[in-house]
Amino acid sequence: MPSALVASETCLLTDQGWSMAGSVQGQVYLTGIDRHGHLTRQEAALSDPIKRPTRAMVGTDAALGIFDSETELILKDGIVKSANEIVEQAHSDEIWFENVITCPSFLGERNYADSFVSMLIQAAPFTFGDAVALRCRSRDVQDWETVSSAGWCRFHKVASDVFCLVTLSVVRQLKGLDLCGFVRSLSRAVWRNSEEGCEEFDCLKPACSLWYASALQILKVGHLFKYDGRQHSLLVRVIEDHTSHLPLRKCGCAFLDSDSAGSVRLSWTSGSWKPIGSGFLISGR
Amino acid sequence: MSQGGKHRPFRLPLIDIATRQPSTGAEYGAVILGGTALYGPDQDQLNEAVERIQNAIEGTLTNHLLMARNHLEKLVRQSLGENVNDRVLGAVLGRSLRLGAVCVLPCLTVNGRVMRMYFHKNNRLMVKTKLASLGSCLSGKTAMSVDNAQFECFPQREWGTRFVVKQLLAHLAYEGRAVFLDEDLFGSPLSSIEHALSTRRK
Repeated sequence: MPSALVASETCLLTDQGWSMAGSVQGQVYLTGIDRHGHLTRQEAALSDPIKRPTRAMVGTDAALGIFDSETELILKDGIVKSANEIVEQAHSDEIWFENVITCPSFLGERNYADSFVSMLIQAAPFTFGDAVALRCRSRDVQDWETVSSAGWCRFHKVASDVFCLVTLSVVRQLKGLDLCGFVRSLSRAVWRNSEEGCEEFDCLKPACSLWYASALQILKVGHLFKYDGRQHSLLVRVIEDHTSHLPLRKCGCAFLDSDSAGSVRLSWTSGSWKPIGSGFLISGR
Repeated sequence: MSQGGKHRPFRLPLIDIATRQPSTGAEYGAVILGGTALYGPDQDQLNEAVERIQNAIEGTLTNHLLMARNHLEKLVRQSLGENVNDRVLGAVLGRSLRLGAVCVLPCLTVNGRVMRMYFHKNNRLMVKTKLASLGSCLSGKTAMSVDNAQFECFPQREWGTRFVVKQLLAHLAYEGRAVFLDEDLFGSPLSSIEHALSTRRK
């Protein structure tokens, strides 16, 4: 039975959408790639969290994820490298991945909003029952009237900062393209850097950026992830870019971080099936 | 040069580390760090020089809880006793960040920009403890000055701790758990947000 060690923050594609491995326990259905390259679901099991000293961030211009330093990722030619090895060789031009960030069509009508709400709760400094407050990166929130007219959020100024107050019960009712539209609008309101004209997410809290990238992909909005540098990045900038992109993505940044929240062991049954973790294909042993 | 009967290897002066490929036909050593390639006349000497800079960076950060980039660079140069090219120093700092020995703490400035502060991984627990202490102090007060925060976190008021505590508060502001009321005065946004939510419900 193949298994892999993944970080608690690795996002797995469950029936509820992107969910952090640490928040899912026991038996779960995950989406992965079968031997023919098709997206298929398979039952998998997750262990209880294990303490680990480090975690690794690996990013391309399409996705980024947090992994255990021993998580083995599949590169473009089927070669397998651990996250640790990728960090060692990130400057090399040989590290290319096939990223999968779109949600499979057969899950399109499922309710993904609960998972997104969980991500928002984790990203927010304050939660209040049915609401969360998120600080907007820019103090001049663009299109705030349009965004707040939808009814799922409003903006509140405290001193010179602006907070977006999101009503979770409204968000939980969103499905399909409505949810994608909400994720895009919220991201543009909260994580927008209006000076640089892009959305900025913390590299070490990448779950919301993954939801944003998936929403953009479903809405057919071309985009690129940009990093501060190849060796380390505090922020990932998501830039709308409508030029055509190669299906294979080069490693843009990879580094280790000593603030690990632990890892979990993910096991599944078929050796020819590969689970998707934060948009990357994970290899099992 | 001999010392104590043993041959002492030549140490590459750090200012001689180049960031451009030597144009001469002679052999040279190279180390690639992210998008920067470092060159020296000999691979072993270059490796030793890079390690020396990395040790100086990590040693300096071990002795300080939190440092701004310009202060770190100044103390690293003092510790090395040599001048080092900015790009070389930046590339080696990047290596320490890549390997997880050095960490970044994002801090909000009063102008709404992000300032990066650096700390050694061995100081993470201390940084977390101070942040938790400041977070709980802040939630119980309408406002907190940097001086008061320094007294809470560093009662001895050691040199440099005022700047450190201000950056810790600025990190809470980055996370949205604090707001700048003035350049040296922070508050919690909690009560204002709670009030806004309660008036909405009515």
